[in-house]
Amino acid sequence: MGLRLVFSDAKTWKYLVDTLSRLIDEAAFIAKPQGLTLRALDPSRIAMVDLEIPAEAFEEYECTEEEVRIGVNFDELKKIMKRGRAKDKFELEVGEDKKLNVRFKGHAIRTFVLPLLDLGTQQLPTPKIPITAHVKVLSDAVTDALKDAAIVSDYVRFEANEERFVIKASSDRGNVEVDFTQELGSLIELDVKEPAIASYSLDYLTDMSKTSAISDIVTIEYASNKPLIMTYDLPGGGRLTFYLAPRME
Amino acid sequence: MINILHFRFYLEMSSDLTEYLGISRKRFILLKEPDLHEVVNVVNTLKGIYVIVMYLNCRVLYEGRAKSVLEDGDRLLITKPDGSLLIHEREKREPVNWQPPGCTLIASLKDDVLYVRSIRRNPREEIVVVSPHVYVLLAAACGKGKFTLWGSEDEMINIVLRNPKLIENGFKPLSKEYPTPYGNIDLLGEDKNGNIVVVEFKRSVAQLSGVSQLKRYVDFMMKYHKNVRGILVAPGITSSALRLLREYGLEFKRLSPPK
Repeated sequence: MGLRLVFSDAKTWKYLVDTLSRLIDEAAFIAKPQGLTLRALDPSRIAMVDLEIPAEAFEEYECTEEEVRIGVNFDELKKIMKRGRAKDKFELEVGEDKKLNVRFKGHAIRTFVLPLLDLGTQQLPTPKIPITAHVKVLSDAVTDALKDAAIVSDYVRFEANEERFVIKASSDRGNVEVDFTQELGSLIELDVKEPAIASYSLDYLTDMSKTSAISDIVTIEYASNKPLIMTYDLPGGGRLTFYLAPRME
Repeated sequence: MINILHFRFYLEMSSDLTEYLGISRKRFILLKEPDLHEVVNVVNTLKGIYVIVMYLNCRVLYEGRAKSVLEDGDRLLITKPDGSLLIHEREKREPVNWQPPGCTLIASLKDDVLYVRSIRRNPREEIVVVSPHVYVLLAAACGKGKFTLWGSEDEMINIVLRNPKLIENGFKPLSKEYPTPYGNIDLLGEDKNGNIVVVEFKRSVAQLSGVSQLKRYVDFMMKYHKNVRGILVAPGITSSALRLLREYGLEFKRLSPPK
């Protein structure tokens, strides 16, 4: 027996897999005794996802091997996850047969078996990205701002200085400006060493912001014309980080 | 959802994360007699940015709306960042097997044999390339340039717009690409007697399909106008198409695309 993970409810995983499937086609979860990780680039290399869930965040976590790689196609996995009910107990298991068992325990025990994909053993390093602005915001507020921006444009401009954090969008269709302030409660932390202005694709940001369904607060870190680092803390422990290359103007 | 993913390639203004990950972005990568593990790695990690060409010994299995088997042989396999896949043999312009843009490509290794699977979701179609030996692999950073075609239908229309007399004396163009539920009318105009004129252009010899296309537009315009004429403009017309055209009471005007 190689690996068995139990999560108390399937909801988090449903959203997690849904978000990941929007950005990557296939990737490998890496399970080690201390926890589960996944790091993958989207096919055009504009975005990267970095998931970390410590063993403690699971209801049960058994990993008897040093490392178990769970290579999956996210579209296939998403279809399975759609079948789970939010309150179902959720289990992942990899046995001797090198197949992935996805199990939901609700009114019945439902098991889906997927073949593991061999995706090679290449490991992505942690990107080296300079940061001058560190912003903590309510994730719903960011999701709303992105929806607002989508009315006029397909990319947004993030502007941070010592006083405020603003998301802007403009095109010949018009302008949108969303101002986050500490007074209104949406801005939780603002730490700007040097004002930062950068533009990012809305298409990607919108996909990433789907994580707000399971995480209240998002941390945004970046510097002028440098990639964006967006981190969501996951309920029960762990975090999902997105890296997004800037749009050059 | 699948379409959105592939639309992302329009994001030419975006930089990517390559430099921050310390992955050098080479113009091309050329591997001679590569180890198949290496091939799996290159294909899975670089398929989204490079055009990958492999000269390999392979068998190709296709299953979907039909089914095919291409027996062992040496061929060229080409994959493009948009998800297209082409398998070329020694002869013919068209590939023997192919998949359109938007497909998902996965390379894997099983019992020392390379499997390259390309999956199209709708309609469900799958190509599996099984290869025991890759002789050469080239991953090339190809660009995308502005494409201009001379002698197109669009150019024919523009020439008529500049000189409406080419259709007939007194012809007055009203609208280019006029939308109807059956497609856009190439050129809508008016003759000297105030009749609506539907003009359909073909850059080569007009066929039966061109005639029925014109008929559909004319019938549609008849719902709103009393007198509608239809003119098919092409460098030539087949005899069966001309017969049908006359039966419908439509007209033909000979005009060649500019060279």
